[in-house]
Amino acid sequence: MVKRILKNPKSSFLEALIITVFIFGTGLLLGIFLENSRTNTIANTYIDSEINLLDIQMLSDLILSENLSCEYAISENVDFGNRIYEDTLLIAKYEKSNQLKTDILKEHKRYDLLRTLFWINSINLRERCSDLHTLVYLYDFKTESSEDKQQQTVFSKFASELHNDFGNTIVLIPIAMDMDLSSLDVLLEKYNINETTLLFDETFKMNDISDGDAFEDIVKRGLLDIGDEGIILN
Amino acid sequence: MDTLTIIYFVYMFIALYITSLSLVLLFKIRKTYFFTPKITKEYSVSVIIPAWNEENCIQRTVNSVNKLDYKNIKEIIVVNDGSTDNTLKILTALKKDIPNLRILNKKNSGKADSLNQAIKIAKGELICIVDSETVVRKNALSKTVGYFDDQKMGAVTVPILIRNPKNLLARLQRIEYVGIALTRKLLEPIDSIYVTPGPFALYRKSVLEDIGGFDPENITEDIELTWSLASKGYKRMMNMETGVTTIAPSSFKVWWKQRNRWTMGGIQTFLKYKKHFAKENMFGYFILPFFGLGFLLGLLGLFIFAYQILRNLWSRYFLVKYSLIANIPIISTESLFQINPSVLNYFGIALFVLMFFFNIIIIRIVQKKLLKGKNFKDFLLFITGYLLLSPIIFITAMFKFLRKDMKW
Repeated sequence: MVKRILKNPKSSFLEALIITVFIFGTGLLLGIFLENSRTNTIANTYIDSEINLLDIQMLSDLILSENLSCEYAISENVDFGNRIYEDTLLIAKYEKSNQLKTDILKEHKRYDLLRTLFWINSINLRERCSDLHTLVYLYDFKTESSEDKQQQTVFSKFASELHNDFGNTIVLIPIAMDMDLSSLDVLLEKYNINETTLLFDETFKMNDISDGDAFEDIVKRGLLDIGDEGIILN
Repeated sequence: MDTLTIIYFVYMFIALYITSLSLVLLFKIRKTYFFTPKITKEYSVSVIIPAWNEENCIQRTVNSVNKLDYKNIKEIIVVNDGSTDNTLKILTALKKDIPNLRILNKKNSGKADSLNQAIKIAKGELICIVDSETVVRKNALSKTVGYFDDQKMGAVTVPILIRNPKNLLARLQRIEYVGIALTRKLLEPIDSIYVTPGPFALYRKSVLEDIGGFDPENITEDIELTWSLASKGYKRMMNMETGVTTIAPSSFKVWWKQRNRWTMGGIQTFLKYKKHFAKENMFGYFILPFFGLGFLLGLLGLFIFAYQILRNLWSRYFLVKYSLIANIPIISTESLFQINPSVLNYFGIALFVLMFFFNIIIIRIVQKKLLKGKNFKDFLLFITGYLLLSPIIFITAMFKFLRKDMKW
């Protein structure tokens, strides 16, 4: 008698299922671990940034009240701006690769709030220190439109290039507009912003990427009174 | 988690499961992979060769069958299915040297009907079907007859390999056929061999009579017959110690037509037997769900793949458009070298590792017998190019099937 068929074929299916569940389960656990660890990294970095922001806010208050030199404050603001810009890039990188958990979105929101506070602080400080320049990049985080996403990618690259060119003098602050932050909403209303925009010193805004050259020119020269159809003056 | 990620996880789980199952089965049969049962009874065998316009190959096929080392071959029946070339003339000449050669000359009615007519007049206890392009190894019968001591045995097949591949396409099919043979053997221990292919299969005559023979309406009569056997609980087995060779299509057009026919035949057979789904035996519990799921996931996968490609192209279009407007580089070196692993990468690697182990084990088992002379470059091309044509065939076959454009 030929007995080549397994007596209990079910056992093979079950064994394969156990192996699969083990590999799959290990993968999910590893994934959750990896994503938690990334979220923790962001959260820890956030704490440092929050402390630094408080320090900068106090420094700004001191400069405003005591009439001290702006040079140090500007340098600290630029340094802090660079640091939180790096954090922004890190969050964006982690957001892309996180598949299982959404905790990192909360960190994103917290960072947007922090950056809004930093922006407000910069606005206040500029009253006393006119040499402090800010480039605020405002974008839609939740957009599903491919066109909007790619347009924002180009905006982001453009802003990044400007930051690379003038990183020692301009603070780049990227902020997502659609995170339901009331303080940010007030600022957006004040500056009449409702679409992807690059805002230079709260005076010049660019929301059409084709105006890039002219906008770059304005940033370069730091001029405040150029009337141009492509550039919307406040 | 977005919908596409969930779908990816489902696909990955199924892929991991199928690979794990293959590994488990391979591990279980690793020592008996080349098992051959002893011949305790010399069953009489009728060899049936259907032929339609086969003047180029019929002589070689008949001669190879005539040289089989099995003693109790009752007859070699060649069915001349209304050939308009010299097939009949060649057969008549061959008959002078081969006394047990019988020629069944008839009007053209298709392969399945030709086989059915030959089965009716066959005198052997076992029926060996051999395609007219097949060259059988001497021991092809003596290695397979022994399985029929088991009264539930319905069919036994052997590896079908490609001989003398003329060009790259044929060489790629040679690799494919080895892969098919290796994986088919894995299905044996779970009673799930789903095709005993046309080039060579040995059947018990009484079983063929019980299931009513081949279905003339089906365009892949070998698949249909095997499913009929499986649905009635007859066993199908495979002997890896012997084999036969056949010719692979060397023109893309012929190959394309053949693959479309196979796929359409698969769909046709699936629909015929769908009522057995999740019933009775391994046919209902594994073969049918396996095929059904394969069709479903294949189709869904194709739609998702097409959607992703279009979405990416659409997205790329806007990126290029706005990058050109803004005079910004489209690709940055930073993005090219940015490595950021995710859980999806883990599953990809896990699958790769499992498949790697599977391949290592199977190569160790069969390297001397089946993989001799296979070109590594061809193998790479097989994986990276040839296999990618399957989805396209699947789409065209589905389309043809829906239009009822089914012919040989």
